[in-house]
Amino acid sequence: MTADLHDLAAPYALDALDPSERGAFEAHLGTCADCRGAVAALQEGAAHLAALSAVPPPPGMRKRVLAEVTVTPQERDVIALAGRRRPGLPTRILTSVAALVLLLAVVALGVNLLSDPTTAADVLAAADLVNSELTATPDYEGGPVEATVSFSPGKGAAVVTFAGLEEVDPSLTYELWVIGAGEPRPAGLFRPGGDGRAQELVDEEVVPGVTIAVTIEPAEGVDSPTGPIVFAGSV
Amino acid sequence: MTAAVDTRPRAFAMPWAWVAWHVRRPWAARLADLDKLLISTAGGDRDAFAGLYDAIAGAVFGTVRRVLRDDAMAEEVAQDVLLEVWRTAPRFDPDRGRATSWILTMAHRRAVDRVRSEQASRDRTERVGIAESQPAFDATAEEVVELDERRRQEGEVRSAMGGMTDLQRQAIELAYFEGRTYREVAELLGVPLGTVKTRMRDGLIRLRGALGSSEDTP
Repeated sequence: MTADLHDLAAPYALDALDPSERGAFEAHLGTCADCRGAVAALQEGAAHLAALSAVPPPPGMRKRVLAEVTVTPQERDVIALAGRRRPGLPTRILTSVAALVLLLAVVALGVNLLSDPTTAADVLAAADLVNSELTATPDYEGGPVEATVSFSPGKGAAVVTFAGLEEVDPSLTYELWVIGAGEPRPAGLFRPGGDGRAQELVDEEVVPGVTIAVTIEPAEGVDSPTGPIVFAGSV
Repeated sequence: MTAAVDTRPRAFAMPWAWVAWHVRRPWAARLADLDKLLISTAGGDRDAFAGLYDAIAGAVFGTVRRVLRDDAMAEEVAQDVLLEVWRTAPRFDPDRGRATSWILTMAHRRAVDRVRSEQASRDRTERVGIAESQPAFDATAEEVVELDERRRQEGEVRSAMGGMTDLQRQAIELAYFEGRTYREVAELLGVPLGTVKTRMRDGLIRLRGALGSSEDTP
């Protein structure tokens, strides 16, 4: 029976099960991680079909929906009303700080134990190195520049190399970002040398398909991008 | 030789940078943007919801209309779905799938449930069937914004569907656009149930792959 249920992932993703089978399959989903993964992937395929059917929505619907929204509580509010409140802000801050301290301690310990940080040279010597171009965006105000990202899938690491890179004001810096599904992750600060050259290890895990971007930020760097993206490219 | 310093307020400079980036990876970037909008919506941000509406309402309405084949009913159902998105946004978990997928799955499910409940009181037989099954593309889709990008995506999906076997395509179209169950599809196509399930799966995998689905979806 279980084998049969696994087979229902595709019909389920297409909403092609009758009500009793849908119920049985949803119960099964609660216990089968494989099927949850399969359904998520198959639903993404189905969503492409839906996206294709797009037509301009009826005039007036936007206004009505947005008006309804102002008087419709969200589920979170309902949960909060039921008494499951989030902890107060001071508690949350304290918890976050404690978690951060613990994280830093663990990271420091890990670094000491391993003491084998990947360097730019390690990455560039990797056998599986793939070079791709980083493209200057219209926000880049310098002259012609050669910008490359060298990615080693095996090491999960990348290095960016620039030639002809415009200097930035001393109060500013270039900052690297790794952009995948979630928020852009900061991955290091750098400035070009006097010869316009720069080489920097991307200080974050890099997986195939992510975007590497460079912004201009205040000299001390920031946690989420505030400046314009001046270079971007995918690995 | 110091570069001209960008003195514009950075928060305002940012959108243009994002635009430049979008040009490079429009589909993936748009998906990630919708995830962010839905996450902000979950926090009660009505402006984010308005942004989400503008990005997805056309696909929600179009999908629902395609299944229901009735403009008035489609509008009613689409409106319900969009409100449902607002109401249940806190349930969205970006680790388990994309916002687009989450919303359009909800829309499609509602449309299919509605069409099946209507079926009891109305004979749809003369309006459906393989011979009449529309191609999976709507000329009016071209009216929506981001025309070039949509054309490109459409081309990619079209070629993915072109790459499907007839059986894969028919099975998927009958189920997705006509709201048929896989048992009905098997009967209509005269093939065993197991074959239909496999063809549906293979076709969906092909569609997902066609648009270079994201590295980051589990």
